[in-house]
Amino acid sequence: MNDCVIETQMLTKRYGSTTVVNNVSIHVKRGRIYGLLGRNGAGKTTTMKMILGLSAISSGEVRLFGESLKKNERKLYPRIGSIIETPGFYPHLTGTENLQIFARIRGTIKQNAVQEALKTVGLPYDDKKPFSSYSLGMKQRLGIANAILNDPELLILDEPTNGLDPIGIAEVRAFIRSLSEEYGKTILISSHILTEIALLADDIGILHHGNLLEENTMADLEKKNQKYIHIQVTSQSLAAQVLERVLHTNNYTAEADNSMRIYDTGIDLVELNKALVSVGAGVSTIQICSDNLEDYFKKITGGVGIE
Amino acid sequence: MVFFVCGMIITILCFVIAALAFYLYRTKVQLMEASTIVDEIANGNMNRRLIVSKTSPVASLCYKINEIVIQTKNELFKHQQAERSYRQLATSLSHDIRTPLASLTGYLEAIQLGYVTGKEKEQYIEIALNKALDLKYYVDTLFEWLKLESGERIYHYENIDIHEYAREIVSEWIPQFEKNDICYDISVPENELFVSIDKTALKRILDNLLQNVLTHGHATFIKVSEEENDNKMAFEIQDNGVGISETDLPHIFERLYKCNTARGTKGSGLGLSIVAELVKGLHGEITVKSIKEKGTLFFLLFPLLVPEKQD
Amino acid sequence: MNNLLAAERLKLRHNRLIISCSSLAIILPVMVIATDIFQGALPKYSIMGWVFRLASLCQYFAYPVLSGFVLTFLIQREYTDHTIINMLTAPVTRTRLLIGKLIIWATWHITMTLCYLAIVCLGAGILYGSATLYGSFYEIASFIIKFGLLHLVTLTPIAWVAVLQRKNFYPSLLCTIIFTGIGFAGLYFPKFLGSLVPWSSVPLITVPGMQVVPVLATTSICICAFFGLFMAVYSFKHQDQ
Ligand SMILES: Nc1ncnc2c1ncn2[C@@H]1O[C@H](COP(=O)(O)OP(=O)(O)O)[C@@H](O)[C@H]1O
Ligand SMILES: [Mg+2]
Repeated sequence: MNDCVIETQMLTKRYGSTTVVNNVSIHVKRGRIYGLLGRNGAGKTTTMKMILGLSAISSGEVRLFGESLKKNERKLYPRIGSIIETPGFYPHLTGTENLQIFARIRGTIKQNAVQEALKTVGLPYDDKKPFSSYSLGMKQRLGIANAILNDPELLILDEPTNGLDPIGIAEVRAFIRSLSEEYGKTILISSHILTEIALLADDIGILHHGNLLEENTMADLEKKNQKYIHIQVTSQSLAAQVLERVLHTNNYTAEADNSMRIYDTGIDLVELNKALVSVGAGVSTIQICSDNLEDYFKKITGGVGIE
Repeated sequence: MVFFVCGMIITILCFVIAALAFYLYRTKVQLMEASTIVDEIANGNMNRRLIVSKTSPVASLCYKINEIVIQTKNELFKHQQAERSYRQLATSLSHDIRTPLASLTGYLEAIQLGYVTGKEKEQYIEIALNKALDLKYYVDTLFEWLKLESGERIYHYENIDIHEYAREIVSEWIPQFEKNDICYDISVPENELFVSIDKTALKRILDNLLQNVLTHGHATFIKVSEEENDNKMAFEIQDNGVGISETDLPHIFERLYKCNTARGTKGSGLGLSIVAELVKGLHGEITVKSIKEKGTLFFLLFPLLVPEKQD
Repeated sequence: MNNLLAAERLKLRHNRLIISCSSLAIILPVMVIATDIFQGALPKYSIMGWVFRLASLCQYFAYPVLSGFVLTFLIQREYTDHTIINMLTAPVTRTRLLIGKLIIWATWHITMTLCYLAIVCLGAGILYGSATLYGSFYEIASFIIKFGLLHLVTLTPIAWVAVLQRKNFYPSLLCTIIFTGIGFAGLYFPKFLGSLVPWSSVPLITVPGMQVVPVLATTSICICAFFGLFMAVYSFKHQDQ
């Protein structure tokens, strides 16, 4: 199914002779969280700015909801909520006044939209505190309130947890999860922290020096992350018996299609194979699946890894 | 002069008409845009919203449509979620049954194919039987849990001496503690206290918690206490075992949640969710405190229902 | 557009800079006139002479600088506060956003000019009596308004500079001061050069009895106004954020 909310084709950004985003083709599917992972300066923000039409595209194409942004701004912008870099608000005005300004410019979906958006992120409505005296966490939350003001289908969040304390990070993460799970929103989120993306994203794109090194589902990556021996046999029951009696392990599961996973990776493969063959369990595959996300990222980023 | 006045009036009228025409045109465009969005909603995109300026003449209409869409979407979401969790459950259960079944059949097949003889064969039969019993136990647990989950369980309240009964339940576990080299400290008041409670539910709760100490705790010491306090019954089960990690702790009462992500470990993931359901059924509360590598404390609180005096 | 202007108005709430600029624009002529009244040294000048003298302080110098300051501030603040990103992702074209700002600025400028007119009339009434004021009211009003409007349109290049400089403040401020300087120095320019440069043609064309080529002056002012406007919009439209 080709239901991409954001699709970029060979997106490139050059500043003079330096290419900061190079032929990036990402596919953000409807209802999923897409994590854009990359170190600082990898080009995440630049990519998002190009998607949002804030920054000119050097070459390539962006399609939002299947349409190009140019000439369709009036139709497409209302469907997108975004935070790019630091949330920008007028420092001498209160959070409520700030949101009222943006509500005025963008239009609203209900009478008390500002009040509800503030309530959702846990900020007070109509208080006297100006934005300049907000804490970083409150600023970030106001940014989120502004992004969800019109209950948009697509959220583009550039490092939304940047600079928050661990509790704040957990809160924002839970909130983004609920936006996706409960409200079915499509979310493009960027981060330079691996665990952040690993905990949140359904799909992941890895950006390194402006190149998209990998685009995959998190589920696929997690499979790579586990450590187990994968075997395929003709008789699961015989294999199970061998595992328990000969190799003395209970740490295995029987999967569909006559395959099994042995989580006890200390087992010697040759011995395992011999034992399985001796009872006629009919081994057709035997392999160690062991990878660790972090090692994996190190591998694809050419050894340097991602924080 | 007359011409001038007429001219003025005509000019003003022209302006008014132009303004009205513009206003009408704007409204029409807004309505048309709204209509295409409503079409998309009708085609199933429940995330679409009508966005209008507060001062627009179509604002209240659009706000109402949005409200209806949001409501419908929320209901739809509830259905979808129920469906999803049901599917997840089914997958997970089939998974949990397949592995022990494969193992059980393995032993039986080994016997049938004549790989083992004599004493070893006897041994195999015994293992197979134990595995079958485990499986039976699992299925029983499952049904008990399903019954609880669907709200079909009926609670029978009886008048019993709660201190006596608590002692009875815990003392059944003493041989098991001793077998596993676990020191125990049981403190239950000596006096009589008659309360009205569902006996089997209470036994089930305590049994499950104590069983967990044995299977998961790897403890060397266990403390069980029961007391009456502030018109409440309080139970405490404390061990000095491996504890539960901070990330797992909030989820342990969820159904099918298993802390140890490595599969093939013991347990169905149903025990604690049964406990939680039963505690809820008895209008009690359960809390847990745990420190990794230090131990775990389960704390239960039940309302004290004193039976009516019978003359 | 209505919503955009309403939003711009909301932004100006509790805004100290706009308030101080406005107060300054009002206090300055009031102070000068008050000194004149207390010194009672009026017979030296005719009423128009007095108005021109006042203009040389306020309208030549102070108002263009204040106006440029306000315009710079209106645009530059969006960049420093990072609000530009939120503004640009609203379903409003960039052209409209900028025009909205310019309208707010123009409104401020015109309001200040009218306030100044009112203050001058009041002062003239006290100093010269109402009869003299009635006699030359039309002349005074047209002079002040014309001066104010021409300043307004020749300051549009400031908007362009303000867009280009983003978070900086000084380039556009420097430009404002240069423009004002040229306006003043223009009085001593040769006739042709004075009319060719838009900022010097403003006073030359407004103050009666100056050496000026009216067609050339008008043309250069118009070109300057449209050039400034066009470049501001063009640069804003094609600017990378
Ligand atoms: N205006 C600019 N001119 C030149 N280089 C730029 C400009 N903006 C960003 N860059 C460069 O582009 C690269 C990517 O930046 P950015 O997209 O902000 O990365 P990220 O958000 O992943 O940290 C950086 O190396 C940065 O130096
Ligand atoms: Mg960045």
